[in-house]
Amino acid sequence: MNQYKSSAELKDSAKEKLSGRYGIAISAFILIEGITYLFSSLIVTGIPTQTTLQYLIYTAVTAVVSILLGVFQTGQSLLYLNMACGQPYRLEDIFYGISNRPGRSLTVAFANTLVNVVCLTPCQIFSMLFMSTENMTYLMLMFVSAGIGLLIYVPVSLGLSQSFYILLDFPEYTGKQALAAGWKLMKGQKGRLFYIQASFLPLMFLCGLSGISILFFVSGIPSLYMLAGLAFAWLTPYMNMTYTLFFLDIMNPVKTEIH
Amino acid sequence: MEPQTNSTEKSFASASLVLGILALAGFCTIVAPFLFGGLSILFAVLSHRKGKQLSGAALGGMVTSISGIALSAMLLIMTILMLPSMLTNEAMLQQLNDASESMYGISFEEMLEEGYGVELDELFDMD
Repeated sequence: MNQYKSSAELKDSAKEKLSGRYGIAISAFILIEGITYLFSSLIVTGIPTQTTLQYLIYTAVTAVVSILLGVFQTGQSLLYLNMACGQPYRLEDIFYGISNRPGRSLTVAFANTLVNVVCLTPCQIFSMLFMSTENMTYLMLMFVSAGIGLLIYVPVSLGLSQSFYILLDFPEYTGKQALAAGWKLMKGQKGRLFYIQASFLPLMFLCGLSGISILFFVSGIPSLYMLAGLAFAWLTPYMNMTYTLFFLDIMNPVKTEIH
Repeated sequence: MEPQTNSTEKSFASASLVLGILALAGFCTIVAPFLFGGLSILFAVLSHRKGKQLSGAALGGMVTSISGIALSAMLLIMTILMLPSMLTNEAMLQQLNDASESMYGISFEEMLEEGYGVELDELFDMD
């Protein structure tokens, strides 16, 4: 019988693994967020979102940007896997997805983005229509589509969540094979991961409060708006390391005998 | 590995205490406790290891930051509740208009009217 670590045990191990390594984890966070911000502000910011068509174009461009930035997810996963397994690690690891068969990372990123767009865009469109027309039917449709969208999005995204780690653990796999293997691996584990993710919500809320306060101080200076994510520079590495240890846990569970 | 772990835990606990004190000291600014308090609680959590007691510094950080946030939230709620009576008081309103004019070059009443299309007289049914 397989025995898995509890959420508290995984979090405690994450703190231990990150001990003395926060510098590189925070640097990786800043670098990835910086690249994402630059990329998004250069491409996405100028697109108007007044009409439904414009909004659909905006969503399509955002999705393409999100897929392209997905290559950093592979690199980030490698950095955390190296840290977790006691292997040599360096900041350059985050570019691994670009330099090593980027097509595989893009395939996995495509699947993740597709789920996001298909499940959550209808709600956003109805929300936009409600804002512009104030028609209550759109408000109702917004809530219904949000409910249905989340009901599909949460389990599917949890099922795909381990694909980037699989890409690294099985270099011979194609993107499709990694998605299928990740889906199979998550069978019976989605509830555990959902619980772990949900357990971070109070800390995320605190970091959000901290960010809103920073925005109050730097209001009117857009170049400093990124400072709002300051608290996340410590929380994100902690979350990422916990997710990495979750992957290692489901890949190598402790075997116990039943007498 | 143990000394490194301890040093990271201690650094987080100390940072939590310093930020907690800043959160409590700045409660009257309303904003500072949320900024420093949020970080302080996060650092206290990151300094805590399973099976060990929360260190004195981290506990102090938790207590001061939660107190700062609670006091700040109370002040914010009181301000919101007192806002109608403050804005209907002639002397108070005059003070607010003067302060707004010296800071932004426009009185508070004009700012509400031009920026949001809101007139104080209508808002509070003033005669």
